[in-house]
Amino acid sequence: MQPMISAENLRKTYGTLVAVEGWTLDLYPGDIFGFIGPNGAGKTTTIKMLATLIQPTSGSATVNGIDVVRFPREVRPYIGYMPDAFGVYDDIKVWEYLDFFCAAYDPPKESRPEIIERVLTVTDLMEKRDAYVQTLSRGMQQRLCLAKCLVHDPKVLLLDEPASGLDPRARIDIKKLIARLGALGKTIIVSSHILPELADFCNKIGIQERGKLLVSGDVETIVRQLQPTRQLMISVRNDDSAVTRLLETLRDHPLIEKVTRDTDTPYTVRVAFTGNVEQQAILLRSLIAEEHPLTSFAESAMDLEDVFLRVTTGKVH
Amino acid sequence: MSHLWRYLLRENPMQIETTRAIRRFTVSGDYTATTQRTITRILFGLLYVLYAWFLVTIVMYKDDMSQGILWFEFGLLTLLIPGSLYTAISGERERMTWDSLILTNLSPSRILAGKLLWRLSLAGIIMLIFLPPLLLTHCTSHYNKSYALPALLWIQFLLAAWCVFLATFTVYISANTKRSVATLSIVTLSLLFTLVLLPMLMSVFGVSMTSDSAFTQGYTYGYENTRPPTAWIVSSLIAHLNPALVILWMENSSQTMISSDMWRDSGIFLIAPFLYLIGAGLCVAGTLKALARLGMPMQATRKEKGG
Repeated sequence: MQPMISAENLRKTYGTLVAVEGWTLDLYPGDIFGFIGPNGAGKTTTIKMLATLIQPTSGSATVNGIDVVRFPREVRPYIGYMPDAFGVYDDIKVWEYLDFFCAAYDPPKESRPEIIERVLTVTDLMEKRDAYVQTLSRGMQQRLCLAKCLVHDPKVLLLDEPASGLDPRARIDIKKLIARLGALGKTIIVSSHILPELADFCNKIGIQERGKLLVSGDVETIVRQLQPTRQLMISVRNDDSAVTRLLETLRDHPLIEKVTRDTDTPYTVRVAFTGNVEQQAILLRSLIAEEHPLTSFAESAMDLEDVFLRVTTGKVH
Repeated sequence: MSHLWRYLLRENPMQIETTRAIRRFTVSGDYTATTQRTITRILFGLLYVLYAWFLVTIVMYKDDMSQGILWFEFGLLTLLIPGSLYTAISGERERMTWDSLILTNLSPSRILAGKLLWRLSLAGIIMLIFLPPLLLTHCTSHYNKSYALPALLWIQFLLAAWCVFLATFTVYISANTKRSVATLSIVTLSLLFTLVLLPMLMSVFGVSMTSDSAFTQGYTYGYENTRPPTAWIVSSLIAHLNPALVILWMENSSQTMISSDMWRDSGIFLIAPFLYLIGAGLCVAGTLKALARLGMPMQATRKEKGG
């Protein structure tokens, strides 16, 4: 299958400053790529290169197989771009704003009302159809901007910090909306410097720091790469002797790399387990058979925050 | 031709600019900045008063007010057009709507046509509003008429051409600057220089700029026996294309005076409207080129905002 977005060694420099370097990535239809990085990591520059707004210093990128540098005008109909900071036109109504952008993509005139209805429905703005754009709240303007990106039904959405500056409710709304668009088969790149924003709905992530894409791929694979062992948390009844007995048992197990008593949770041990899920089940069965007074046995999954902290250094340009 | 009309005007999405402008100045409601609307209404109110004064003076006193009306019309249009256009392109970039605009299928010519449409329409409406009092004062004046009727109509054509030039020049500057304030400064300084400073400077160097040229004499001051430098000739020519002066020179009385100015002798100011239109054509070409360049991926030279 041909990737919808493909970038090979993208590089952008501003004088001596290297904003983006060695950026390589393939995304396929339906992928929602969470693009994470601290402020100043080069996320906006990367997205703008893919959106045909900035010319890369070197490297290549294609959208739907079309070179973004050589054929920007041909690429643009496939892209819906939502900048991190955007303006709206005053003194026009929501539907007029959308109709303007819809007309600007030259669809048949009679199809425009239907398109506007559709994007208003998708973005939950139907109630605000006749409101003036400058009267909308920040969250609604974000949704309007997203609606504007959808009027030409693009295959690719490039969303730069779509939830920035929004209150928690509006953040949730925009996250749901992006997830819904991903379900429609669109390839989405969504950038953020706030991890929980992306964790819920992205099937792929990339972590960028100082212009370099440090890791990228699906969340599970990245976690496995960074954490080859499973972290098990095993708790026993409130009894120190039970904990000691459990530690002794586990230390002798061939699939256990490391066992430590957890300092945060009482009567709990942390286990670095090298086996798979089946072997994990066998371990549980053997502990029960040996009559350890278990109260819980769970895998502690590494989350995006752990991954981020593991791969980044905290340095910026 | 009809395709071009449809493409650039009737079915141009940029017509939304006209809708926005009409709403900004006319519609009441809570969505528009009240201060802006109040100021606009006060200005329009003053214009109504002035217009009424023109009419009353014409009807009651039978004075020939044509030169006053023409200068007022010229001044109003010269302020209004750059004032409404200086944000045309640089303003889009400032309020961060430009990126969205260039990612659409809109061509530079459609963007430009949309930007110019309502401003030039407004200029046309103002000229039409001033035409009846001009004709009235011409027909009812008791005394010698300031202008022959063809001259009066010719000046209307001159003003229309001036408006087109001024509008395209302002958009050209707007497309080539990043800040609206820079656009406004450049346009204002250019107008001040060509309409005020240059004629004054040329007067110092012996080019007569007033209708009483019999007194000031001589365009060849200092160059009686030699060919004037090219810069002098060009400056003098530009000074003579000043619409305010053309309005003055086309007055009947000035034609009777002995003029010793080489440009005026040659009647060069009669081709002024055509030169404005040529200038407008060049500005349009320059603007389209600038818009095409702005529509391509930028070779940004500084770090963009954001991560």
